[in-house]
Amino acid sequence: MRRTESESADRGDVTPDTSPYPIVVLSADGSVLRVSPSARILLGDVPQDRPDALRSRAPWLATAHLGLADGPRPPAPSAPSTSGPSGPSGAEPWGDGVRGLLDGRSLEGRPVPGTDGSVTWWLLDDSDRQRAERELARERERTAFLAEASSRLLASLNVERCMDVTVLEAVRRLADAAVVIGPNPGRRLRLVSCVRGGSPAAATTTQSPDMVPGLSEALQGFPPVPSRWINPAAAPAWLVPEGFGPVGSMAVVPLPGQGVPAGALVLLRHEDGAAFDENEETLARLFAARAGAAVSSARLYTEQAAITDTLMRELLPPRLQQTRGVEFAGGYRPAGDQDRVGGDFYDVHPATADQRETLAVLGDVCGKGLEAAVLTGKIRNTLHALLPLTGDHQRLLTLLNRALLTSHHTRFATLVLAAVRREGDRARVRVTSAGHPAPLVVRADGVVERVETRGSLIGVLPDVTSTTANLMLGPGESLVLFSDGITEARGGPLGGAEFGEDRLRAQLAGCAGMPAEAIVEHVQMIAAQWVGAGRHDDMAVVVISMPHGAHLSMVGGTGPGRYTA
Amino acid sequence: MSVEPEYRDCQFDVGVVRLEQLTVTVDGPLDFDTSEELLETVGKTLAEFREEPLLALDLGGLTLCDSMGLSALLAIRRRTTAEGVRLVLLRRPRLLDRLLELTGTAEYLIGTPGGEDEHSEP
Amino acid sequence: MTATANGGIRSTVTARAPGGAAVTTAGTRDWAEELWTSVSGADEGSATDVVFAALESGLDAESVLLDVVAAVQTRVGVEWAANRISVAQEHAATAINERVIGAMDRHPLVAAARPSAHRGHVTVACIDGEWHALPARILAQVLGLRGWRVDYLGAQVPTPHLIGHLHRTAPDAVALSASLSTRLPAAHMAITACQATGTPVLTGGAAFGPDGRYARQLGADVWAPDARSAAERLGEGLPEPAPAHQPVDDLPHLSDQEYTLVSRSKFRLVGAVMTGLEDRVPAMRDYTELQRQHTVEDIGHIVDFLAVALYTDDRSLFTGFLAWTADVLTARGVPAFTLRPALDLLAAELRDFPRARDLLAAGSGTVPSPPGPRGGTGDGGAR
Repeated sequence: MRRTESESADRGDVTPDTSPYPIVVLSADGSVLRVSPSARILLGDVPQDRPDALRSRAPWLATAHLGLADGPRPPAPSAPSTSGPSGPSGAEPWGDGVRGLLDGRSLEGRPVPGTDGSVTWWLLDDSDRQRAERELARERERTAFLAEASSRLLASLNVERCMDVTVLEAVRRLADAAVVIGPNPGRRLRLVSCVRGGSPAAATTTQSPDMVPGLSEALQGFPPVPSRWINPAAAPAWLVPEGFGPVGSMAVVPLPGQGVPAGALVLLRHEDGAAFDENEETLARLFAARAGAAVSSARLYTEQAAITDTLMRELLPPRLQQTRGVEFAGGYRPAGDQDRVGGDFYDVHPATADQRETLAVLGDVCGKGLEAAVLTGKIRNTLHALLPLTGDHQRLLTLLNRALLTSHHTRFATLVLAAVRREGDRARVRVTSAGHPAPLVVRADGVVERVETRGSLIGVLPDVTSTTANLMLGPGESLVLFSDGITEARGGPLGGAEFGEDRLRAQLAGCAGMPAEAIVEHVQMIAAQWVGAGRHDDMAVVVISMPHGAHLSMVGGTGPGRYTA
Repeated sequence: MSVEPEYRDCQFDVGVVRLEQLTVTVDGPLDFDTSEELLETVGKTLAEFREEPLLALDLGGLTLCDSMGLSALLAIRRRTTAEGVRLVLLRRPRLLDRLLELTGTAEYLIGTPGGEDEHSEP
Repeated sequence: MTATANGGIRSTVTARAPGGAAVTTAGTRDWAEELWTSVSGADEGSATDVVFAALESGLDAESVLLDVVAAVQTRVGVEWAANRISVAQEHAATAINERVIGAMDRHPLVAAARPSAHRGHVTVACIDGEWHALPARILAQVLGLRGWRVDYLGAQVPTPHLIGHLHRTAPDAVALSASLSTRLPAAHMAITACQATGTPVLTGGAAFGPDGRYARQLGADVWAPDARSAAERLGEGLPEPAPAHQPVDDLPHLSDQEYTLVSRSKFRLVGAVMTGLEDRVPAMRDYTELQRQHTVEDIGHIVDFLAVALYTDDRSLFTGFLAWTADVLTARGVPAFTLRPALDLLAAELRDFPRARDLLAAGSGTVPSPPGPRGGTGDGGAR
């Protein structure tokens, strides 16, 4: 019970006759002793000296008054020495008071015991406060609903999930069932519906939105038709969720999108429920504005993501597998965690009838991110076209260089070519570096050798030169191609140290005889641990291995790619 | 191809001096973030001193050169050649010579295939 | 102090595949033992033969995955933790198991048993920085066999990629796997980010603790001790994901900044301890470059585990790690008490960090004392 100091202070100094507040003094038996003028306005003429006089006008007050007799009486105010600091009159309120209605007004009665066994009832008219509190509570509840609905709606950038959340939130607060209808570019309507307590269900229909009053308008972004104008019996069967029963009332609200309508929300209530009032329609519109924004953001994201995926598909590194008894495995980690592509690339082109060597390529173009990735795409395509020339690496590099030379910029690429041909349980490999760090060979006994090849980078110089190395891989031996993102990775336990070729070689020494994917994984893990949480460049590694022993199973390395999108 | 390590001093300075010869000095790392600045300075310098027969890049203060840095040097070489200006790379640190050697660009940039000449720093 | 030759300390427990303990069923042949022989011999062909034979003997595909392949993988983890195989050998064994799983997929019996996807859609991924993909792969296979549509994203999935995938595909749930305790902060970030998209998160793997305590602490919606129970929990339907929140809401102690400051100054701490050790432990001056490198790595791991113990506010993560390191050192003939000066030096560096100091004191308690009053190369008054 709220009470201010000033309230209790002035209360002591007034008598019923002068009090501006409504006061009625009742004797112990309930008879009216005195009534203040303002109380008389509230109560009307009450006969005095009759115990049941109040019962007809304010039974709640009469009951409360008699109830006081049953409780303990507070100390009589005539004993000032014990009444404490509350004031000379000792006019303390007694208990929590009582509340009741009188002619539609909300009154609160607060009893103050008198010295003679009488009780002074202060009647406080709190109708306005009550109304304000109700309004505030309703507003708070609406705000809380909208805030919670918004945070759920904003959580996802997926159109389907946003539509699910929209109907779930709508049945939580606004209606017994809700249906979201997507915008209608084609002939089919997409709808998601949900009954309170149920789960969202998606459906499509070829029915016309014209069958639902107000729906076509809403889908075209026209202002909503007031619910009271909509005949709920007109709701077609395809709209009403199964088992819902007869529709009592229906509201159709547009979902505004970003410039274009994002769809419409249909709210349904059972026959025995209340119809939508104006406040509820306003709330539904506020909710629909949020839902519409969320759905259209999700739609925009989905469209962008689809475009990116399509363009990116060509730029992603391929999955590698065993080819003609030789294992190929590759792994790639772009510089940025947000990126899926970057300046490093690799490809394996399996041998064909015309071309008897399998060609593996690993390269690195300068720059990073999408810009670099676009250049890798150009190089990969050009190389693919030049595949018939795999037999002569120098010639292939010369043609590639010529194709990439441009007067616009001096962006270049470095790369390694490895042409592999199986001979029994061994593989003959021709390796050529074009300005790229030389690959390493892991021998069966754990010795790690650097391949002696060098050449000029591609795409800037008028002429390129190269030397090709020839080597044999025996069973359990591997050739490791890598980009300098690995050897130049900075980190380590003390931070700032370059990973370096020596550490790479030391790690590879323990990888003799391992399957190609295992070496790729090992190198990637060691490099990633070296970098820790620090920045790094694009890192790519390709391993070409001759399997151990003569067992050539059908089992290819078609496990999951190391590369995850 | 190289990434800028965070621990290192990232101060980068390009200056132009004209004593006996037109010299652009480079201090700090030449990489993704700084190579554009070098290209701009060289471009302006060449435009300003049109009659100059020789441009020297003083690389004594170079602390790192990544692929974007190398790309910038190649672009400068291409530009000076087109304008008939001779390019000299002075006081080249070992890290640069190694990069030129690895990428097969030593001959194009400094005229010797091995990547070392009298302008290499010991 | 040269404990861990190849970094990669993952947990005080062993690498548990979702299959849990090695249970062998069906018939008289011990399939897991046979597969172990092939895998440890790096014999891919015979490994595939063993698994095919198990399938053809009537063992169902899920049991082969969990009671044979996963059991062998668990054993690989045990062997690694006991320092009987190297990290590289572990990778080789894992690669063979991966191939065996791939081969199983193409076996006609498995193909015939695979139902059409009818149960819903799950994304399976490893936390960023987590390289042990096999437990997640096995879960993905099991879910596929039980009729789920599965997107398997593999090892080391950067959280932005994972979230982008969730937005694009809106799965019913995401299953996150982590084996390395030190990935718990990253796991926490991934869990809250997934929940913020409205996707419930199921977690599994050794990192979350044998009883899943860290999964609960980090606010995961569900934790499962193995692939079977994960599949069952998914089948029961998952709860609504926790509402969008920030990691610090789950772990209010993080606001004391100790975790932040220790992780951010890791390099400085490791450097300071190395310098201090050279003063205190005369034997270190004669270390080879390789020994020094191992010591630096060991100190790096100690700081990593200290940081994750600060993150979870769980002392057992740190003491358990030290006890394990002490065992490994002892197995390698390095006296474990050499860990003590490193802990003392760290405590001196972190004297203003009460939680870190408590952890280091508790850590010292788990490391054996140097023998005798003049004890070895320990902190015998070098200052």
